[in-house]
Amino acid sequence: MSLFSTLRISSTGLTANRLWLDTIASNIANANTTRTPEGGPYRRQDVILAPQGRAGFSQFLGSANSTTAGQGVTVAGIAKDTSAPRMIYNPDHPDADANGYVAMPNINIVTEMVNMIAAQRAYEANVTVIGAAKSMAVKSLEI
Amino acid sequence: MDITPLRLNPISAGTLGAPKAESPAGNALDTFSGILNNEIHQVDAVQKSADTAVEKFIAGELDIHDVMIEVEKASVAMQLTVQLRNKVMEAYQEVMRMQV
Amino acid sequence: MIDQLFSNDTFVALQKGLDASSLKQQVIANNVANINTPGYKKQDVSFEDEFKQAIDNKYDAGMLQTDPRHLPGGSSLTSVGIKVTTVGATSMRYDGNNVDIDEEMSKLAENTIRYNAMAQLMSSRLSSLKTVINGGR
Repeated sequence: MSLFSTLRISSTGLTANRLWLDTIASNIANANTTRTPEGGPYRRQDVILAPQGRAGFSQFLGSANSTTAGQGVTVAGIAKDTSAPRMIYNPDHPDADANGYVAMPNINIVTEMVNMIAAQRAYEANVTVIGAAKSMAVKSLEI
Repeated sequence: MDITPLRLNPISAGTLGAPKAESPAGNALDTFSGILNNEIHQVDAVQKSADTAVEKFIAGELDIHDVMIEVEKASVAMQLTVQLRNKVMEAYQEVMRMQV
Repeated sequence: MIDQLFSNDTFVALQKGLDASSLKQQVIANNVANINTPGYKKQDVSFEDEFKQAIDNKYDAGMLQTDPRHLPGGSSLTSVGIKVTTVGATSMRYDGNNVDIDEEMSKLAENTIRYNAMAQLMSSRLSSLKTVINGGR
């Protein structure tokens, strides 16, 4: 139970980090998208991570007396950036408005790159934990 | 001089083969059979708890090291009981081989 | 007799150690999975201090119990509790998360080695029991 739920917890970490990487990839790919089905430029997406606890009373008791660990991480949602878009002056652009300004997405490539490295490192850390848990389980088979 | 003749007392069914009076209740460990009985019950209990542990493991409730330890405990207990039985049989056969 | 085979203090200690170690693995996995979750505080398993106290009490004189109503002193090995505690220290990160990846990785390595060592020790105890029982054959 304990070692197998370790594997499950780490796999939630892997899933969450992969999803984060997906949103980062989407942000980078759409860094210059000015036309979306909802109208307006592409809105930067970000993941909202939340810890996953065991359902029931124990998560309200807090961890003062708990004898169980949490259950990993979950993506509570994907938030869309709601700040105002960057306005670039480009009258020849097909999406330019009356004043010649084009609304461009608020995506900073450097920020996305840093986030990508963080997601990658977190993914690797979770993989290491899975490897360690597997070796422990195999070792305990030899008892 | 009066010589008292030898007399054979007839063996009645009551004298030979009568079981010794059982020791008072609560001293079951005094007799060897009591000890053996106790041991067999303990081995049975250990085997049962190993079975329960395996079932719980399959249901996902028990950890892998717990089930391995329970199963090994049952195996050790069973080996101990089998060896005890072997020794008892050897001792019995040794006694039977004795020339009267 | 069979109960006494397995109620040896070291046997109980090994079992407790294995339980605590696998819970600690779970807690470390949870910390690593939540390394980017805002506001998450890292957790740890408290077990070694209580265990040390239980061992010290075993080798001390212990409290004398001349009456059944006397409280037992210290703790026996079987009653050592394994608890998950939250470390609420302030963090250097702006999102309130205080998980340190390097610390978690080194705790992971240490815990894995400890678990493997305890599993190995348990296995060798059991096999030496079997050797004695089978008379060296």
